[in-house]
This record gives sequence, structure tokens and C-alpha cells, in this order.
Amino acid sequence: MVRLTLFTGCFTLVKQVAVEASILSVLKYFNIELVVPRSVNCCGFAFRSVYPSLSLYLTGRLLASLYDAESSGILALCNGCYLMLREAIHRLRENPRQLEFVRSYLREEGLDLRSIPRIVHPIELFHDMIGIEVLRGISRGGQDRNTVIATHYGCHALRPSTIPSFDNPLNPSKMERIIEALGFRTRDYPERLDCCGAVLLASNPSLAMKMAYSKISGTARWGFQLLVTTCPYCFEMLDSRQEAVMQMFGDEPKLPVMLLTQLIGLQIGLSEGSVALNLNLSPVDRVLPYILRR
Amino acid sequence: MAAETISWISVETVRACYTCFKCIGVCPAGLKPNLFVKAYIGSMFREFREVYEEVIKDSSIWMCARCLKCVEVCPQKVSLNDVIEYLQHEATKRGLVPQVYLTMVENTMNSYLAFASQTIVSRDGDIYMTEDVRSLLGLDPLPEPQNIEKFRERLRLLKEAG
Amino acid sequence: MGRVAVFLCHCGTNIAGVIDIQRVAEEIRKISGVAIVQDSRFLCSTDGIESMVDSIRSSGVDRVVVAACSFRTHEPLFQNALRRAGLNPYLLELVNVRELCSWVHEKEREKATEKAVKMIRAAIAKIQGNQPLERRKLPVIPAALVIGGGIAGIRAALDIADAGFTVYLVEKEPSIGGNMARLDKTFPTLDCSICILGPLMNAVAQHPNIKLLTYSEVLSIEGRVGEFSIKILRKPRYVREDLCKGCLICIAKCPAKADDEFNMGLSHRKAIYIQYPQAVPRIPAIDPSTCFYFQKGICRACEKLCPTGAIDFSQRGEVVEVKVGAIVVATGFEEYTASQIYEYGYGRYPNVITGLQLERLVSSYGPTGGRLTVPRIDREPRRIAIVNCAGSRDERHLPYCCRVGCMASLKHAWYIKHLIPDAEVFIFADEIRASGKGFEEFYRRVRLLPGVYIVKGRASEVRGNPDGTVSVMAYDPALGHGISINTDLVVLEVGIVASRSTESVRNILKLGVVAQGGFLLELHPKLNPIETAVDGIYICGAVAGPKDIPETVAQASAAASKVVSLLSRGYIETQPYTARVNSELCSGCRICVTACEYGAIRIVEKGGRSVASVDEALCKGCGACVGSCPSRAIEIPNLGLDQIEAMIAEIVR
Repeated sequence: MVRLTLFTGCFTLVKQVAVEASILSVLKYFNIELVVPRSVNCCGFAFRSVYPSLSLYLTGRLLASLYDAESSGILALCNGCYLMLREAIHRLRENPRQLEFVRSYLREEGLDLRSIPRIVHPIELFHDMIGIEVLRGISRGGQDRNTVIATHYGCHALRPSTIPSFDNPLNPSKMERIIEALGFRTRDYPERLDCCGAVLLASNPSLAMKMAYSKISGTARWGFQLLVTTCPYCFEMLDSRQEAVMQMFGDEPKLPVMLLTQLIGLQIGLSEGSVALNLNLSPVDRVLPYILRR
Repeated sequence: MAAETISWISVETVRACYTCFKCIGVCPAGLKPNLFVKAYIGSMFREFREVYEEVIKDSSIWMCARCLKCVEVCPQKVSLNDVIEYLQHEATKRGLVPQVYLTMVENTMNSYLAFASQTIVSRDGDIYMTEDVRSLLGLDPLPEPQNIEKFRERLRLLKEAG
Repeated sequence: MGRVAVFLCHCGTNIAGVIDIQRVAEEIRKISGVAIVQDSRFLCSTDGIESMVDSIRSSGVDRVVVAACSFRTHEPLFQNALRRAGLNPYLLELVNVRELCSWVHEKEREKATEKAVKMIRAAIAKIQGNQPLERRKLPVIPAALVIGGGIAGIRAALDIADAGFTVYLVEKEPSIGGNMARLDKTFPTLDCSICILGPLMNAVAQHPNIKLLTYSEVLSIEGRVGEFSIKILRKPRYVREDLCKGCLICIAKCPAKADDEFNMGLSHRKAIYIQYPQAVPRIPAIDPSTCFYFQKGICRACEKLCPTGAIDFSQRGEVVEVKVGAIVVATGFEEYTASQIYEYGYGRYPNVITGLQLERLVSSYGPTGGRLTVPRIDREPRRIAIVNCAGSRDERHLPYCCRVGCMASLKHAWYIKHLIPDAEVFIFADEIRASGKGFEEFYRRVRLLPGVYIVKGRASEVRGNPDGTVSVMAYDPALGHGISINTDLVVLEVGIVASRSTESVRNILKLGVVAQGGFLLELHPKLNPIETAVDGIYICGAVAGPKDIPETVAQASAAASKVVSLLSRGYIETQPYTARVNSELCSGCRICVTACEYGAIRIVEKGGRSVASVDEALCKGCGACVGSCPSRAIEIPNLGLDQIEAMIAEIVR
């Protein structure tokens, strides 16, 4: 029985709740125990360059308060949080002064950084921990096996390659294997590693939308029927804002987008409601007939 | 104390830039990462200090989407992301930072989270607030911010530290 | 107790700038047994040496300590001085107070001076135990082995053979010629490559002194310079060389198909094949991994068709042993794995190829007979991008410059304009390195071709489009603009590494390699780029580092010249630092036998007991046996354990 500490990140808690709802439903099926931590805080990704010490403290606080000796690791649902946590571990390991600095603030709360938790990405969870064979087993046919699905890892899951991650940064394949194990086709496409633009929503929304437009329109021209991602920010740009993005450039929404957990949940036989599919704003109705088990 | 403890830049790798322009061709925001690098490297020479200051004051450093593609393709493994963040921090110290980031820090100081409760729209066009959607989906409500005063004070000190 | 002369060299300021020579001299004079102490600004100068010889003669000393630089620079010079002064050259101790003292302790003069004194005291203690030693002359076999039949190996073999010595030229492929045979033309003159290579290949085949062993590999080597024993595996061609007339009828009807490696995977060959029409020798080989007979037991069409009955499926590999005096390694290079450079799309798009693949496409004996078409799409390209430094000068792949890529890219631009006059060619390079003879002029010649545009920025990414074209993204600093160039074909000038067979050859020969690229290590990068750390083994060509054809040929002739010099002298003089066994003390425990990397120690019967015995010809004087012996029964002369103990005693005093 695998036990993981769940870390949603602020954006999922407050906006992209489908990320949280779908993974809770799906992991119940796979018998993965998720521990909900008592105290969480923002990881500090957005303002890490503005207040670097503050940001590092925030991430350090997470590493300390989310650590659970009986848990196999921290499941970080957001790519930004996933990077912050791993990078903080890397930095604090290399730099004793920074470590001591963070610890001095943590001690005020009775927290400390003694052990290093493993940080787990949802793709890693499904591919490495649950395993491809198990996923192959849940896919019992009924879908249209010619459905071609585009994978979108997001920028911070695998880059920068100086911080070890779960797959090859310029040529990842784990999400593809998951898609294929579920019974669908996938293929490489030039825009695969392109950025959704989410980070710029804060300071430069029009540039963010332009990047999202390039990503969506570029991907759509290859004939994909669906795009899947795990990150709430990528989902915000590619799904929630697809209509606004496309209209800004005189185009229309054309690419159904789902979370990986929603796709897996539908394969298991979970209802659309339990994976919060009603919160998807991209044209997912178009692709449902092809991916649902009969 | 904090400013020296938080230093990202591995100076050795930054100086290795040999201006091949590969980073510019891959940048989705149309930025010139190696301009930032050369400005940083040049900042130690008096002839380049003025340009360096201009670069810090220019809004383009805040246009980086942190996609990290430039870092991945750089043949000299220059940590371009670190350089851009350093310049952003320098800009912050000069009082030039987009308000939205300051707001996010304020939110965090008041609730542990960078975002406040907001509207969520469903595909059918229904409008909800965060709390409603969470409860409809059977999720726990947003956590109550406990012991927030001490946390806020800690963050205030950290803000001053830099 | 011997009488010792001590010479202290200033080496200009290299030593004297840190070490207080006068103080050292004072301290050393106090030591008993030291007859004279003399210092000199440059001991290695003619002046310095003459003065040393005179002092030795006049002072009547019988041994000499020299405190100067590393023995690797001037040991022979000082040994010669002793010889001229009438002393045995092995009654000399060189103390390295430069590399091991003044150069590493520049900031600590006091301590450096004290250390120098200690080092010299230790040397004086040691030299009391030195014995006069003699070098031995060992014969040199008047034959050479050249491993690798590319242009480097061919040139070296011809030069050595022309000097009258037998040369065994071993090549692992069925034909000699190497990578040069793959090229269409050579820069900057645009000579037809095979036209200038072919005559040399034929000369090799016909030379009475060259024994050509193609489709063969070196298995093992034993021995030492002057007398190497080499086992060579002659792989079976399944074609009898004495009967085959080279008519090639056998190939026409072969039903099997395999990837044609000579054509860089762009076409197929048969299971029975010659690599290209000008192959030397013109004798096909059967590849058993794809031959229908070997795989499924059917066919044998070649056997039925052969007019001379030369096909012999029962042929076996043969191990041949040869003895030579010297070895030249010329195993060449290959292209780096382009698919590793993910952003350039090699392997993901069929219209992204490497430089050598382009050579094959434009070659008149290549997969398309010289028509430049996009692989698998088979359409003539109108817009071609050439991406320089693909994988080179890149910390993520090969950190070094490939040296030939810039010139190759210009040559490739020329090829394309020559074959497709309306084509548009874009070269993406952050620098163009054109430093050889005629290179800059060739660069100008290519720039003047209409329809050629050089972007002074590296290609950032190659992205495919739904219509089958590929776009190259980059930044043009001259225009100050990001650009996206839509093309039909992308040519990657990929970096080069030592050929993969180099790894096994270097293990067999025990040669060092450079970590990045696997190139073989020379003895000295400036002054000795041809010799290696192993006496009698020389390297030349691209296996020693990326280079173009003129440099390769120059190095090949240099290697040949060194070989000829060795072989024509006819003997070598050994260093007398070989291990000697004191059979009184030896218990025959065999620990030294296991410790010896070179298999130089055997157990023999002597006076009714089993004792160790060292083969001086194989012993390299490494001292492993000395360290391993529990009875202190084996020692290297003038490096005795009691001498070393005396040194240690001086140092810790």
C-alpha cells in the first residue's frame, strides 16, 4: 500500500480544483493512500526572483511540514511546486549557509529539515509507482484505438536538467507510454516541448495568451483529438482560457484538453462528475465518444 | 544577512557564454537571453555599467516565461534562468517590480496562499465561487489560516532581508 | 662512502626566484660525502654542461646529484655529461626542485627552500646505494604493423614499405579507403576524393612489401618495442581470394538485403557485397548475419553463378601471428550520434541528414548516383539549411571543435549550388573557422555564390511542418531579427569522435585516451604528437584528434618516418630498470607473478627450489612486484628498498 503526502499548491486549491478532485478519485481506485497535510503554504514560485529568501523559506517550510516518515514522498500536483521543492532540496544540500538560514526561521515554529522527502510527479506516480502493466490492465477496450492524443509535460516537470527529474528533458517518453498503455495512440510533434505561457499571466497577460495561442493552434494542426497535461497552470491556459486565447487571434476553440487523471479516471469507469469534467472549458464533448469505455 | 546567503549565479558557467545566439532562436517570448548574460558579465567594467542599468530598468526582463528552453539548448550550459532572476531581483531592489507579485506576497502573508477565493465557471456557463465548487466536489474546504500573525511577521522580516 | 658532486640549477628565476640557492648550497656543503657543490643559471645550457663535466673530472667524485627540473626534460642530457666525464650515467640522481618544489610553492619561499634541502639530502642518501648499470642492446625486427586502412594507414604503410621494410596493413572492413572514400570532393581544392585516393589504394595492393590483411582485426599483442608478437583474426569472407576474379556476378542475384553502412544507411546492399566500385581488394565478402544461406539454409545463388567456383561457405576464420618491430595505429574517426542532439530532429524527420550522408548523396557511386534528392521523399530540394557545430563545442555533447565542419559546410554549399543551380542555401554558424592554406579564399568563393546566405548565429531548433518541410529557427544578428527558414533538407555538420574500433585496439595496446571523443593520447601535445606512452607504438590521423586530410597525411608520414628510423637503426637500448630476483631470499610464493601486469615473471627451478625469474625484455620497471613481495626478494637496481628507506629517514629527520 503506497502512501503519499498530497501537496496541491495554491492554484489548485483555489482555482483548478479538477486537478485535486480527479486525482483523489483515481487514486482511491489504485489503493494509494493520500495524506492531507495539516498546514500548507504557497511554494513561492511566482515571486522567487522578487524575494528570494522569502521564497526559499516558504519552500523549506513545505519540505519540513510535509515530511512524513511513513510516507513514500510528497506528491506535487503543480509543475511549479514540483520544481520549487526539488530545487530547494538541491540548493539546501549544496549550500550549508542557506540551509542554516532557512532552519533558523523554521525553528521558531518547531519545524526542522532533517530528512529529505522524495518529491513525486503525477506522471512518475502512474508510470513508475503504479506501473504500465497495471494501467494496461484497466483499459478493457471500447475506446477508439485510433484516437491520437498529444502529451504536454509542461516546462517545469523536466527542466532545467541540472535538477534531476523523472524523464529525459528533451525527449521524454513516460507520458506517452501511459497513453499507449491506456489503449490510445500518441506521436511526437514539434510543439511538444513548447511553453503554455502561464507564468506570464501575472505580469504580461497578452504575451501569455500569444504563447498559448501558438501552442494550441500549432498542436491542433497535427490532427490530435485531445491534449493531456497534469499541471494546473498549463490547464488554465490550454483549457480554461482556450476560448479567449483563440478568439484573441481570430480563431475558435478547436482542441479538447483534459487532465491525465481525468483521462485515466474515465478509463477506469469513473463518472464525468467524479473527475470534474464539467469544469473543462475546452470542447471536450467532441472527444468523449472516442475515449469512453462502452 | 540574507542577500549574500541567497545567491544563484554560478559565475563560472555564466562567463562561458560565447554569444552563439542559440538561446534567442528558441525563446518563445522573443527575448534575447544572451543580451542579459553579456550585460551581467559586462557590468563589472565601467564602460558597460550604463547599459547594464538600462537592461535592469527595461520591462523586457519581466517578459520571461521561465520556459527554460534556452537553458536546455545552451551549448555552454549557462544558467540563463539564474541570470534573468538575478536581474529581476536587482530591478526589485531599485523599486521596479510588477505590482502583481507584491500582491501575491501580501496574500500569502494573510492566508498562507498566494491567491484568494475566486470565481470558477463551468462548461455549462454556471458561475461559482471556490468554496462552492470545492464543497460540490466533496473536497475539503480551504484551510483556515492558523497562527497567521507569527507567519506574517516572519515573512515581513524575510522581505526586508531580500 | 662515495664522493658526491651536487649541482644546483637556478633555471633562470623558475627555481632561484623561489628557492634561496645560496642557502641550499650552504646546507648541502655540510653533509659528509659531498665533495663539491656548484650552482649555475642554466645547467642545461652548453656552458652549464661543460662546466659540469669539468667539475666532475677535476673533483674526482664518483657520483652526481643534480637539483633542477623534471627528469623528463633533461635526464639524457645530464646522463651524457656523466658519460663524457668518465662516470657511469646511472650514478646520477635528478632531484626535481622545479615542478615538485619551486613551481608549486611559489608563495612560500622559506618552506620551499627547506623542502628543497630535504629533497637533496634524501637524494644524497639514496645515491650512496647506486650501482653502475649498463643498457642492453636488443634487436629490432625489420617489419611494422599498421592498424587501419584509411588515408592515414595507407600513407604510413606506403612510406614504410618504400623504405624497404615489410608492412602488415590490417583493416577491419572488406576494403581499405576509410572515410575518405565516402567523400565526393575535398576542400578547398575540390579534388575528386576517390580520384586522388584510388591510386594510393592500388599502390598499397601492389606493393611487394605490403601484406594487406583486409576484413581482419587485431586480437592480441605481446612483447615490446622491437619485438611485438601480434595475433590477427582474418575473418572469413566465404570467398576464396585466390580464385575470385572480381567479376561481381555473385552480387547481382543475391536476394538478401542489409543496411549499407558505407552509404551511411541511405540504401541497401546485398548479403554478398563489396563496399563500393573502387574497393581494394576487389573481392566480395558475405555477411553471415543477413545471408539467406547462413540464416535459413537456402539460396546459395552466388555459389551457382560464380564462374571460378570461388564461393566457399565452409571457409573459416584464421588467426595469423606476425612479428614486427613497430606499430602504427590509424583507426580514424566516425560521426557523433546526431540523434542525441534532440533539438535538431535527426531521426525524427527524414529530411534531416548528416554531412557524410550528404557526401554519399552527391557521390556518383552513392545511393542516388549523384542526384541530390531528399531521402525517402525522393524530391529534389530547393531550399537547404546547413547547421554547423551540431554537437560540437557543446558541453552537453562534445566540448571540442571538430576542426573540419566549417570547411565541410562551405564545400557542401558549393556541392548544392553546383548540382541544383536554383537552390537556396542557408548556413547557420556562429563562427566560420577557415584557417588552413587556401581556406579563407574558399570561404570567399562560396560567399560569392548567389543564393547562399550565411547566418552568423547557431541554429536553435528544427521543427517539422505538416507539408513535410522543416523549419530552422535561429537569430540573425546582422539583421537583428529572429528567423524561421523553411527548408526541404537540413544538413547537420555533426561532430566527430574516434572510431568505435579504437576502444578495443587501445585496450589491447594499453594506450591512453582522451575522455571526450575517445581520441588516443600522444606522448606530448606540442613536441611529440606521434609517439605514445608505449615505446614502439605510434598514432596518426583522426584517431589522434580531429583533423583534415593534409594534416592526416603529414602525421602519417611522420609516424612512418619514426618507424623507419627505429627499424633501420636495427636495435634498441633498454633502460636497465628491470626487476631482479635475489633467489636466496625468494620463497617462490608467486605473489609477484600475479602482481605483474606484463606477465614478465615466471617461476623456475633453481638449485632445487622454485624461485621467481624476470624476463627482462617484458619487464617495464613499474615496481609492482617490488611492492608486493613479502620477503623483499625482488628489487629494481638503483631503486632498492634500503635506498628508499634512507631517503625517508632523511625526510623525516
